[in-house]
Amino acid sequence: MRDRTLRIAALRPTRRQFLQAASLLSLGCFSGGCVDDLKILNFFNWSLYIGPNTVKDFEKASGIRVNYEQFSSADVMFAKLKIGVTGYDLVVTPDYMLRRLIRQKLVRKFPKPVPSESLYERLRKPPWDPGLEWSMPYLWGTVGIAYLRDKVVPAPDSWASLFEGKYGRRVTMLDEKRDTLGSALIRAGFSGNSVKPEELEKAKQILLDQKQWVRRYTSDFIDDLIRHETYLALAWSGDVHSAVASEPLVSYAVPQEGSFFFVDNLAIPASAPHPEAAMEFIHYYLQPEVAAGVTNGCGYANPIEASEKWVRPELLSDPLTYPSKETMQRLVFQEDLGAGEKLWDSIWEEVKR
Amino acid sequence: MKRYLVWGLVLPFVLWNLTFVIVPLFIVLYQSLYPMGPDYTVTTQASLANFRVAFSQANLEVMGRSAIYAGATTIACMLLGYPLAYYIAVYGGRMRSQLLILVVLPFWTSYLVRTFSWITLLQTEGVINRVLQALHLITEPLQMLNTHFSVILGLTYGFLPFATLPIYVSLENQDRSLVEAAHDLGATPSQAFWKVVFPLSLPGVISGSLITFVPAMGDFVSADILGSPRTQMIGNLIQQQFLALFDWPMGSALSLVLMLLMVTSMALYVMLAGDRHA
Amino acid sequence: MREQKPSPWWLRLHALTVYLFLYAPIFVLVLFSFNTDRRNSSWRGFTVDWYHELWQDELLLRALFNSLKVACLATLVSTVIGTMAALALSRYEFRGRETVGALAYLPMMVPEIVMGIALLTFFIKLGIQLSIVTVVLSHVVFSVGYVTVTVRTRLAGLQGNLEEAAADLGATPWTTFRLITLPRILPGIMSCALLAFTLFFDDFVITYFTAGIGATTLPLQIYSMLKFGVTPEINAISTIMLVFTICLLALWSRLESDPKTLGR
Repeated sequence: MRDRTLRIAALRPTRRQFLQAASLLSLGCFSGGCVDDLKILNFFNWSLYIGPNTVKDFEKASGIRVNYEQFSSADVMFAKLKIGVTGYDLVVTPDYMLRRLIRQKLVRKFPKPVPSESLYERLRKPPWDPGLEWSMPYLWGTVGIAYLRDKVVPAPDSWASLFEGKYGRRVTMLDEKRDTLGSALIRAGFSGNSVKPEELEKAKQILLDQKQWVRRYTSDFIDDLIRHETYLALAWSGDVHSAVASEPLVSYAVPQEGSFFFVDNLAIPASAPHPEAAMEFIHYYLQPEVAAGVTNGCGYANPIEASEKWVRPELLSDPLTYPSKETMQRLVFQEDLGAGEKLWDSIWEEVKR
Repeated sequence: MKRYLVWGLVLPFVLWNLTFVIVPLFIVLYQSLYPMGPDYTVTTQASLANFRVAFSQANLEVMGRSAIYAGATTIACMLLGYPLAYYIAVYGGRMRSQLLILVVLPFWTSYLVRTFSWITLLQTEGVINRVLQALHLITEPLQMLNTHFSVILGLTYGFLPFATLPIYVSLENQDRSLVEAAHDLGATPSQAFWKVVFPLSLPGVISGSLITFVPAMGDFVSADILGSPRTQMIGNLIQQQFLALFDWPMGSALSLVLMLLMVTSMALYVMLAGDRHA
Repeated sequence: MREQKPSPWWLRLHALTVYLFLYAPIFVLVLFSFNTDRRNSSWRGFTVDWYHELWQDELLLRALFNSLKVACLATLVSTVIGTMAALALSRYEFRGRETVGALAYLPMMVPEIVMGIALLTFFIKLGIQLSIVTVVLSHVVFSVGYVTVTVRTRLAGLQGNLEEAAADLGATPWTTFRLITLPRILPGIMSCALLAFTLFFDDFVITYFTAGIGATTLPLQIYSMLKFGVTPEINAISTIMLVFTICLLALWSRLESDPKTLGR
């Protein structure tokens, strides 16, 4: 015991000095830029929003090492970029957030706009980036109602089912103001992107009335559905797809009154240390097989038309992933709110309190 | 020579606290004074507007709720932890350190995962409900999740070791001959406990409850995973401000208010405890 | 020193109940890591497939490695700083002693989320890029106080004037520390270090705000995987961590009961 103590005591000062030196070194390495970081891509994406082999395959094909980080809420991603966290080369951003990012000077233009011929027509000149100079569509999906087929009868086809409280406290709503407040607006008969105070007040009241039936506001609604803790949830289509794999009774419906069709996009932060690596990934993703790999992996549809050849047939025929033309007509994009954002924020805050 | 030695020893500690605690906190204070304007840009006019909002009725309600949850958690931890600490200290024998380690061991698994495991236990079709139904103690499954109960349970579970350890330390340090003397003087075991053992263990109880109450007030994970909109704690509000609404000035203001609450309760506690001790 | 009478049955029952309470979720966790069903709600069958899958999950393994790195570094730094401060505070009188002592309680009064945000803002404003270093620095913050207080208590409990005697015999402060003080407080330091290591390893909130690219720790990685609830894979890695810890603690227990250490 004595010997051990002596050894430890003798080691202590030297080890500490070593640590201090090491930490200074690594600090320097990170802020200065080491030689070996020429071939690195720091990719910040939604959780579980990519194919199981996509990153590995990209690393092999390009020789670029990928640091893959995930976020579970777009607001967190925005907060990180806005507060000044640097180091991300490539982020995935929702459509409605892109203009905000551009205004805040948090993203940078592509050196050359992305060639759009390979994309579906509706996505070639998206309202948030008609020239595709700042972003490239990554995956898209719909917002709708997920429910347990055996418990919710008849099958819901209107927003009413989500808001009326027929099943007690067995509803979850998304923890995203655009989707939740937006759906309440549509329920009230207004546009899902409205910034009119009177309309938002009505939507707020709908949500407050609904609150007694809401288990929680969460983007992890799948877990509760699978456990049969909840019967209804405001949901994203691709996530429902994964839920069905675990619990076949989970079903999905896009209400008749209309809903949202969201597109998540690849963008390059203004402070990106390796923008060329980011562009390389974007071009890599344009390959139909790669895009199909992502779709097959996470259940969300990709924007590359030619990829349909490689997408699993069950996904192609699944209205969850590839909704019918008729459904698509009922769907609108989530638009940039501009000055109305603050109003949405305060209403959302009141709802969640 | 001695002087320099002392300062040499203490300097890293002081510098560390200064750089990484005091300065950042001042930054938070500074941030709270410049409210957020439109489109996520901070206004240049300093004002106390954020604090006025921080003390609004709705927020006070949430603060009150947090204090109540923290209080309930502390009481629960004391009720569960004291007898356990007593058992280990007095009857533990050679197994004492092992028994103590067993109390801390659950912490070596992820807090998140443990809390999620409670979902499996508490859910409508979960283990607890199934057992209760099998024993015919209930006919309908209990709704235990996303309630005040589940949040307090989660908090208690998370803080139990923190409450138990200080109590154990003060009990272990006690001189058992005092208890024997009490017995010799004719006291019953119960009297011996309440008149001798318990009062002497009070410092442990106080630091244990302090270590539980104060951090529990600021917790947000339990309410996040096991709670509902009705069980929001002030930690959740702060999280929302920073991450969802991106109103860092407002979040900073709320944080300072929370800290004020925590410091006040700590001071009150120590004052009350001080009186008792005299 | 120890009760000769057997313990009252209700006390034993209480202790058992509390242990049950503590270990119920752990039991669930371990059990469901072997579940064939992907869901965490019902038991279907036994399999070790998830452990195989774990081995393939590069992100998870990298996160595990990061967690260990961070915990080790942070424990080392905070133990050293805390012990040094405790020594100074308990052995010597100096100006400002009370204030410095009070500093130890400061981090406890700051909720983790506030500390996390404050540190994040601090690093950003100073232009320090987030990385593993920032995580370690942040972690040390909230444990240094705890180490100081605990070691100080331990030092206060030491009887005798062995240190003074050594000084009278001509030993330098460093030798006195090394040969006299350190062995006697080492168990206290070690148990502090152990608890600190646990806190660092399991920390979520502070790490969430101060981790940079490539600094994802295990709790962070698990958090990002929780979208579909707790998968058996997550249960598997938690089980492995548990087993690892039990081994570590068994080893520590063995060292503690070593007759050579009984001279404290």
